[in-house]
Amino acid sequence: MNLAHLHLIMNHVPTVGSVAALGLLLLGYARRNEHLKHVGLEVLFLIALLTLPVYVSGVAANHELRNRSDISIDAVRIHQDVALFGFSWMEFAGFIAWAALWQWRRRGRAAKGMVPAATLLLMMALVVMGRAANLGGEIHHPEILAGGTPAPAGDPNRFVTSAITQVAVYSHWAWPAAETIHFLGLSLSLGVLLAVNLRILGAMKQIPFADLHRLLPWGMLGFGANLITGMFFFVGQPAQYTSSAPFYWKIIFLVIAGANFLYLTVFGKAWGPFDEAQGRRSGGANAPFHPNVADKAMAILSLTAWLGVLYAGRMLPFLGRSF
Amino acid sequence: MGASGVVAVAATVIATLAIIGIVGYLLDRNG
Repeated sequence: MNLAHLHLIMNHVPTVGSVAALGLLLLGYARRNEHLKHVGLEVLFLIALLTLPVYVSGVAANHELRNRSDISIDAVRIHQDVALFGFSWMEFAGFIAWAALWQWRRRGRAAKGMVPAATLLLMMALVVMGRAANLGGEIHHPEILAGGTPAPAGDPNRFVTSAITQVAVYSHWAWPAAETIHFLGLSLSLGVLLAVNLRILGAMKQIPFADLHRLLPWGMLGFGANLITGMFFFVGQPAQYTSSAPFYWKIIFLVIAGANFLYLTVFGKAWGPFDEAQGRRSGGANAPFHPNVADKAMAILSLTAWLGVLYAGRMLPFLGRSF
Repeated sequence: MGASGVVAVAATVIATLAIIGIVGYLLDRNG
C-alpha cells in the first residue's frame, strides 16, 4: 500500500466524521440534551485530529501521482488548495470544541456561545471539506465532472499552496520566525503535559491535581501554535517531508499526543468531575487524587508519544535523505 | 538575514506570544 492508497482510505474521515459530529450536535439541540452535545464535541475534536494525517497523506499522494499523464495536476492542486482551507476550518472548529469541553469539565458548562460557535465552524468546515472531497473525486473520475472537462490550466502560482511555498522559500525571516514559534509551542505543550502526566504517575503529590489540570489550555495553545507553524513548513516544502520516514512517525505520535489532551479533558474520574447538585467539582479542588490503571497507562502513552514527536522531529534532517 | 529580518522574527514571535497570552488568559479566567 502506498501513500496515495492510504489517502484514498482515509479521505472519507473528515466528511463522514463531520456529518456524524454535526448530527450529534444538532440532535443535542433538538432534544435539549447536553450529553449529546458533549459527545458531538468529542467526536468533532477527534475528527479534527484525524484530518491532519488525511491532509498530509493527500500531499504525499500528489507527489506520487504528479508525473502521471492520465491525471490533471491542476485538478490535484485545486483539490489541495480547497483541502487546506477545509483543514484550517476543521482545526479551528476542533480547538473551539476542545475549549468548550474543557470549560464543561471545569465549570459544568461551556461559556455562552462556545457550543454554537463550534457547531457553526463545523458546518463551514463540512461545506469546504465536501467541496474538497468532490474536487478530489474529479481527479481520477472524469465521468463525474459537470462539464466533462477538467479544470483549465493557468498560472501555477495562483494556488494558495504555491503562495505559501514562495513565502517559505524566498522570505528571509518567515521560516526562522516559524521555527522559533515551533520551539516555543513545543516547550509550552510538552512542559504542561509533562507536569500533568508526571502528577498522574505519582510525582509532585503536594500539588493538587486540579491546579495542574488548569494549565491544560496553555498546552493546547502551544499545540495549536505548532500545528500552524508545522503546516507552514509542510505546505512550504512538501517534498522534503513526504519522502521522510521520521515525518510519518512524527504525525502518528502527534495524533496519539493530541488524543491525550481529549483524555485529560473528558475522562478520568480520579480528579472529581463537576457535580451539578453541589455546584462544584465533587470532592473539591483538594480532594484525594486516585488515578486508576487506565489514567496511568494514558500518562505513559502520552509521555512516550511526546518523546516520539520530539525525537522524530529533531531527526528529520538526519534520518533518510530528504533534507 | 539582516537586521530587518531579525526585527521581523522578533516581532512575529512577540505577536504570537501576545495572542497565546490573551487567549490563554481568557480561557483561564473562564475555565
